[in-house]
Amino acid sequence: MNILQFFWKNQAQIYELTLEHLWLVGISMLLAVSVGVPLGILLTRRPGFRRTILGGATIVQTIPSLALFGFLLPAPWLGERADRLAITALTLYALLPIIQNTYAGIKRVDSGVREAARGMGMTDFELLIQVELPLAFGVILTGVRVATVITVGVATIAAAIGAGGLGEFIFRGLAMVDNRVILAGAIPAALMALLADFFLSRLERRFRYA
Amino acid sequence: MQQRRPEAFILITRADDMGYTHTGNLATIECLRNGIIRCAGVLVIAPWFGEAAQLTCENPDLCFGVHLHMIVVPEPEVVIECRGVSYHLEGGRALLSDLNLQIRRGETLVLLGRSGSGKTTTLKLINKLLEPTEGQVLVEGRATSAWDPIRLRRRIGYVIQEVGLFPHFTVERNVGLVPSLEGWPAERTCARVRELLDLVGLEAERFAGRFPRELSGGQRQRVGVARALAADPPFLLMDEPFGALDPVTRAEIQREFQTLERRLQKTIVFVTHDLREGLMLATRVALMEGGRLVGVYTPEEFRRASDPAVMAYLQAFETAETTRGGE
Repeated sequence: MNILQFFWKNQAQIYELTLEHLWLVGISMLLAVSVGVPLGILLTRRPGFRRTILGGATIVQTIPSLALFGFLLPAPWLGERADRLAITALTLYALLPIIQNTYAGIKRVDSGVREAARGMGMTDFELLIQVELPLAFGVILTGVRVATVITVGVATIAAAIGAGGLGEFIFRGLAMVDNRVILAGAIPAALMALLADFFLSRLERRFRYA
Repeated sequence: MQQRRPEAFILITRADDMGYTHTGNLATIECLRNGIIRCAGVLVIAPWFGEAAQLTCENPDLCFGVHLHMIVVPEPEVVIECRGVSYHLEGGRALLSDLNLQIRRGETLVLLGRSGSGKTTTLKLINKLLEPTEGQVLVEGRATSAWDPIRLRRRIGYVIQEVGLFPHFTVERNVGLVPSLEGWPAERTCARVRELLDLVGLEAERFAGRFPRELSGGQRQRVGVARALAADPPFLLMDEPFGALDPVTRAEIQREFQTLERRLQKTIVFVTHDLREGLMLATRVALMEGGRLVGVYTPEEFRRASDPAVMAYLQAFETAETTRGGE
């Protein structure tokens, strides 16, 4: 039985696990963006927090992913369900590039533009919403893209704690020493990462202002 | 009106007399806009400000037998005032020391000086982008420390050298920004934008929908001026607004701005290091050096000034010009 036939035979399961994977990645990214972007903005307003926040996110990033899943296991509410735990870990992983790019994107806004905006009597909030965020959007999106690609990869490891996703195939394939099973997980995951990368970078290009 | 020969009164007037009417025995003097007076059918341009008032008549033939009358009008009020203002950086370095300066309604005060002389700092103290370390800056009689910065800045148009147009906004949105922040209805903002683009010599149909990157340097600068004027602020702060333009465009825009200046009757504080530009646009020139005010002069006084600092600046500028011309 060649690979294609194998895929065909198991398509229902591939489909199901891909959806599960997508769900893990999607929810994690949603959380990471809704936490990371405000944190990045906070850094531009309160530079004092820079060390703590960026340092914390960097430390998380250096923890090997498998270990991070393990660390969170004893946590009271999180440990109860594998998917909660996986989403938390993935969110933590995705934070750094998002925080960093939000911060850098806003900082990179031309000082003349910022001065003009303030000189025209924009409040800090108006400056942020109407000028800084739109101009930083491309850079923030780059952060989201990088984070998404990382998350798609790391999410395969979530299967190790029973959270499902395409990692199921990979771990099963490794145990069975069957390359076809491994590929049934690896190929859709790789495709997902490539597609996310492709669409997000197309979106990014729209927000480039010279 | 008993006499049959041409008559005119020359009114030496100040900047804030718009609408002033004097009815005398012989004629009605009507001050149309400051300095331009219609009386007995003769238009007389009277200079405002400055002791050396030179009277010129648009049509010398009609000025035959002119009666010279002087009507005393009150000095225009001081609307911006710096009282003993100093500004220090956090490390203690002084960018501005003990500045005392009064700016009157309707005048164009040019802050002239080299880079680092404190011109831009002075400007930023007026719209509260900076706050004085010592002393007070008063705008309309109120210290900037007591002004809400947002309210204050919306009363002050601001044009800077890099223009600071928002690259993600079209020309229309750039110009209409302050009105929309002020909550004007969309149609009113739109009409105002068109009016302003027209005022700065840009066709609304062609330019309203463009983005700043699709404009030339001169066009961008015009949009910058239009944007600053959008909500019709009584004050205008301009920081080397024409500094980044090529000499030809620059001269063109300066000429246009001179016309605009007369038409608008705003109180303008204009920062430049360019002597020629300064003298061309100024009602009064304030020369600054090393964070201090050297003196305030009318353009005529400035040219004639015997003050060593003024002479040094005139000389330095001429030398620089000749060197540049010799290249």
